[in-house]
Amino acid sequence: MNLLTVNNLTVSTEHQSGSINILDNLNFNLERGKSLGVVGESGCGKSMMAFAIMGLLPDNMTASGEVQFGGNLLSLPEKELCQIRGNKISMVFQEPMSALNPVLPIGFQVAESLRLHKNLSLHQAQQQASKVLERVGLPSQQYALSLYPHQLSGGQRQRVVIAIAMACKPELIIADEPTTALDVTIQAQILALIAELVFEENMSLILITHDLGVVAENTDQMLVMYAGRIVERGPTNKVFERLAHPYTRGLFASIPESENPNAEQGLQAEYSLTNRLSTIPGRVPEFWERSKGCSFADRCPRAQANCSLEVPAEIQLGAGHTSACFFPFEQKV
Amino acid sequence: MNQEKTETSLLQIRKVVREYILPRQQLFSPAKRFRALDGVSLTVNSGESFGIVGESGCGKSTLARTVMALEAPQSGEICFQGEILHSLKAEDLRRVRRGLQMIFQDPYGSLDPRQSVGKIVAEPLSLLGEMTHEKRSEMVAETLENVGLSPNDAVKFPHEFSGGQRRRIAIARALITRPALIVADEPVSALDVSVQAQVLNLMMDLRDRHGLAYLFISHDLSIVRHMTTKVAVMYAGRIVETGPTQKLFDHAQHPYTRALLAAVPRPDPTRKPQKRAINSLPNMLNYNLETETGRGCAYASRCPLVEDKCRNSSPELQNIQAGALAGFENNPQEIDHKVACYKPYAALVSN
Ligand SMILES: Nc1ncnc2c1ncn2[C@@H]1O[C@H](COP(=O)(O)OP(=O)(O)O)[C@@H](O)[C@H]1O
Ligand SMILES: Nc1ncnc2c1ncn2[C@@H]1O[C@H](COP(=O)(O)OP(=O)(O)O)[C@@H](O)[C@H]1O
Ligand SMILES: [Mg+2]
Ligand SMILES: [Mg+2]
Repeated sequence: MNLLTVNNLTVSTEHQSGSINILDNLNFNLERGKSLGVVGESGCGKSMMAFAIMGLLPDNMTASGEVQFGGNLLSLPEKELCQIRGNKISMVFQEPMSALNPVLPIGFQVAESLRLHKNLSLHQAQQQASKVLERVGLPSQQYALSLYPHQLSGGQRQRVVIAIAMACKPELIIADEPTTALDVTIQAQILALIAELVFEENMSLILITHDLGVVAENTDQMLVMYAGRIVERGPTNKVFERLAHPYTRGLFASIPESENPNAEQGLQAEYSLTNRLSTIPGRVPEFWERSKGCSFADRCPRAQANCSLEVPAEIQLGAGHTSACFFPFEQKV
Repeated sequence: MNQEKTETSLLQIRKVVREYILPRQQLFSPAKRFRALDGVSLTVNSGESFGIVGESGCGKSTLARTVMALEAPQSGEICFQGEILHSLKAEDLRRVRRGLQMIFQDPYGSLDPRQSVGKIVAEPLSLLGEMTHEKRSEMVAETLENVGLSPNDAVKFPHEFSGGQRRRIAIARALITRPALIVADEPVSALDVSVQAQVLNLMMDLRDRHGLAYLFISHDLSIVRHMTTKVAVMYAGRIVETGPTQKLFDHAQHPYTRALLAAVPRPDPTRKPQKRAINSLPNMLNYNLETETGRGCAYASRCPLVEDKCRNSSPELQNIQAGALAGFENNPQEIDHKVACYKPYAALVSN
């Protein structure tokens, strides 16, 4: 059963000559209890997509299409959205300090969302908060509810943010680069914590990241976004098996190899000095610079004449696996 | 191979200790000292890329600043091109500095937004002494081209550039005195992989073209693996394992190195089930450096293999004896692989 269905989601803003789309016709869905990874370089619109779903777009932007979550969130009045945000859908951001209030104790901040959405008394909310904090690995014997954010490490702060997000047992969590500012070891713990909580409470997860490794290891489905559009989507293992869109493949190829296939050959296989990484030339265009056809055309090694004239439609590559490209790659080399 | 020949060793760091005095908790309580570097030694040869990895707070940036003589060690010495940095007079230090440049961790903070790119890049030229305006502009133009920017960019300001281009500006500034060693502190952190790959390729090209050596600091193990031929893993101000990069990554000995390597996410969904094992990584929540610098191994409280001995005395960096441990054929190069642990992996396997 789909918990979230996004149909033709388009976000536009006024820019000089007129209205321009920042997000262009996004379509995808997410089942209850499943996780969806979203990747793409910065500026591709990943955060905008999250804000559009949450109804938190900046004032100068308008959304059209449908975000079905029970009803269409895009047509709900702000008052009703407030009852959904933090309650049925929660968000975890990259920088924990931006989500935490530096002058309020952590216990209070977790309790606040419970009081707001669950009508608990201050005392009940505090008790519940202490349970939630224990659940994210901050037991109150060691981490008093009265601690302030600055008394915690980056990883611990992110745990508090997760506690706030989890407190009301939402059905959907949107985590926007939740571990980008953390060390790999802490990242692994935070991701494991999110995965565990999501699994135990049968929640759904949208995990936004620029790290393909994080998506590979933590999600069931994935979207690859480029310049405001979804260029490839499908089951995570299928997308990685094929890397059909040249952009997906380009991203993958620019990662330094983390495992050496010749490990056992020992020193003979010492890296040569000119072991170059493959790169994607150029950069992500700003939304007002996007070309008429496929926005990736001018960086794409496979582009032909019609790529820059016409936007390629999503084509089916396999069960639930689609790519918006005229010349998708067949199989991984 | 492992002899520290003076002709080839460009930089020698010998038992460097760097302490910070922490602010007093109360007016009359004694000031606490915090050891950010606790007896660090390593050698970088000419043209070599030496990587430093470890979690934030382990002392990587402190090591960089100390090598750059921006901070003086409390004990130990740093020897660059045969001269001991901290004993040099200001005049001599300026001369030595030409050969030793740095790319700072945060290009937003380190590029003055009010200065033009030309000014920023030319700044280290003052180390070369008097120079005509023309010569200066010529060198700036040449260096900008060297890093893939245009000579016309000299009149622009940092905010006009993307994240990747700002790294190029920082690299140009480091490159302009034609140094023998560049200390690069997280040179590609917070860049998208595609841009990161461009900057890393540039750094490799420059190394090949100019015979540069790098002290390459990063918390990203795949990048260090790609960029360096030797590596040191730091934990709480100490080197816990060091050796040829590939050897060390393929046959990691220290439980900390192994935990770090296990935590790196790989772009391979088939690894997913294996990944769940991460849950059994030692709990690093209660990790507090200040209380960890006692007698024993600093990693003891997080280590899954800890025994009493580890808490009571601190293991020294030791060679992994060739042939003595499982998995190592008798190859003299292995002597370069050192670990500071009473229970290195090879010893576990051989039992
Ligand atoms: N407040 C804003 N007003 C106008 N444009 C914005 C605003 N915030 C972001 N953008 C633009 O929207 C596009 C998508 O940005 P974003 O969703 O933040 O990307 P990502 O999260 O993938 O890095 C970018 O082109 C960015 O410049
Ligand atoms: N100027 C300073 N005064 C006091 N403590 C410092 C100072 N600079 C760094 N430290 C401490 O030294 C340790 C190492 O810091 P740093 O070298 O920045 O680590 P890394 O670069 O590996 O993240 C940290 O615990 C940090 O808080
Ligand atoms: Mg974003
Ligand atoms: Mg640092």
